[in-house]
Amino acid sequence: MPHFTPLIPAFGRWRWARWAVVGGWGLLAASAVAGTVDDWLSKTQEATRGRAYTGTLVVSAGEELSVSKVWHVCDRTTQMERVDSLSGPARTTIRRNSEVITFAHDKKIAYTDQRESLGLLPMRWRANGESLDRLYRLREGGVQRVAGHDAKVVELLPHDASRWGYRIWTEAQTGVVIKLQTLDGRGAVLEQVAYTELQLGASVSMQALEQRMKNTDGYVVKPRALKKSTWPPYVRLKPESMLGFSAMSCYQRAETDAPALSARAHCIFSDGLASVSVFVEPIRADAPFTPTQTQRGATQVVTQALGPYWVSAMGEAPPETLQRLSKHLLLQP
Amino acid sequence: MNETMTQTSPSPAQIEADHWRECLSALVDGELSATEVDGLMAAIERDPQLQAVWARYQTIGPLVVRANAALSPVPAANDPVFWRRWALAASFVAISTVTWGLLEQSAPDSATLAQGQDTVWLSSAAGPMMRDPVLEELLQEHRELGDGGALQVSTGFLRNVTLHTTP
Repeated sequence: MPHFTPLIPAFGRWRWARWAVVGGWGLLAASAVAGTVDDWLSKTQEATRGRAYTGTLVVSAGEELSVSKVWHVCDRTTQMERVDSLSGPARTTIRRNSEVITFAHDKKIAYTDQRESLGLLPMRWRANGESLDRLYRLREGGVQRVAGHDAKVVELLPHDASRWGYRIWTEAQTGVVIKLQTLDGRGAVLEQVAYTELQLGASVSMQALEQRMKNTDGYVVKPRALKKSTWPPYVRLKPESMLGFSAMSCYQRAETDAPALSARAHCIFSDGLASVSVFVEPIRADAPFTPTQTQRGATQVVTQALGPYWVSAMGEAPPETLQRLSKHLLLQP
Repeated sequence: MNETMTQTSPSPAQIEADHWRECLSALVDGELSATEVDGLMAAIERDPQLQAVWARYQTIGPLVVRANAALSPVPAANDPVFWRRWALAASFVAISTVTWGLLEQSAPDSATLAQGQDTVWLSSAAGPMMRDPVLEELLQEHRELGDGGALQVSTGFLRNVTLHTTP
């Protein structure tokens, strides 16, 4: 005899209903687990850890095509990547966690840099700690074949028109991102980042990459000329008024640079997925600017005069967002 | 009868050419292994007919030249031997499977090709491409310092480095 009273009688014509309820709850539970944007992004970031792979990466941004060869290796404490350009100027870029060096082979210059956004530890996506589910929703697609791998398709679609959407293919077993499309409000592809060839589990030597990174013989080493700065007094920092974009950091040129350049502030905003840079500098009589609105793939550019400042906003967001961010950002004197 | 047989039987050279054409299709579909790509690239180099098929893709020319010219002259710890040919393969696959779709959306008939100092530019109905050196510099700073958010570690950094166009 059962020790409980079933909610639905387990006999006769009601038997199907019981299973329907059980199945329904099972489906709901499954979608709740797999359905949040935050969870999915955490898994995607985790997929890069503890793995080694090499591949050929193609970025198609508008009519411009860029190709590079990529090496990736990661253990518990260190993530290293090497990117050799195969289009544009000959470059080799090597990253060890947040430390980056770029060898410009034609100029024999090695540019060194620290990138804050490339830490190994899991990070909160949004500066204000809110879930990305407030800005995007996740829609799961099927499985497709990409670069010789079975890949799961998901879409991260914005709740409003202030940001782009994304369609992302991840390798079915490992979760490594194989292909990513940035979509406009109508679902048209603005830009695509995709491996045309990806060898998971490839033999990549972290030691060899570290040695290459340190070997600057024959190159002039130049550290980045920008330094992190305080926010300029004319910038308004109210995340709630910025379409879901939060202020992240601000940079200025080192004082050893030309005075005109050191007066330019580079303010960075992010909604957790998209990034927008706003460059602000005083309007100078000797440097005429022309208002511009243009695009390159998913990256939009809007330049305009606002009060006594020349404001150049650019980022992976609709031009209307750049316009509104620029105007919200600046405190008019 | 014999005459008919002679006329209808393809020559070994034709069989080989057909084989490489099929490989070319497989390459576009992303279904060719690394070894086969290596063989296909070698075949294209020696076969004028295959070169003609290749040349049909008008827009690929300058980009392939770029890809070859830009190969790193510095020997590297992890460089695979067949890499030079992969550059061609990558350009081909990318052009034919990726860019064509995007070009179609942006009215390719009105597109014009221009050769910049380091970059090949297309201007089209989609809007003017940026050539202003100041904007180029700012764009590069945006790519390098802009916070790529949750996708930075998986694809953002690689995307930004690959898009590096300023000298």
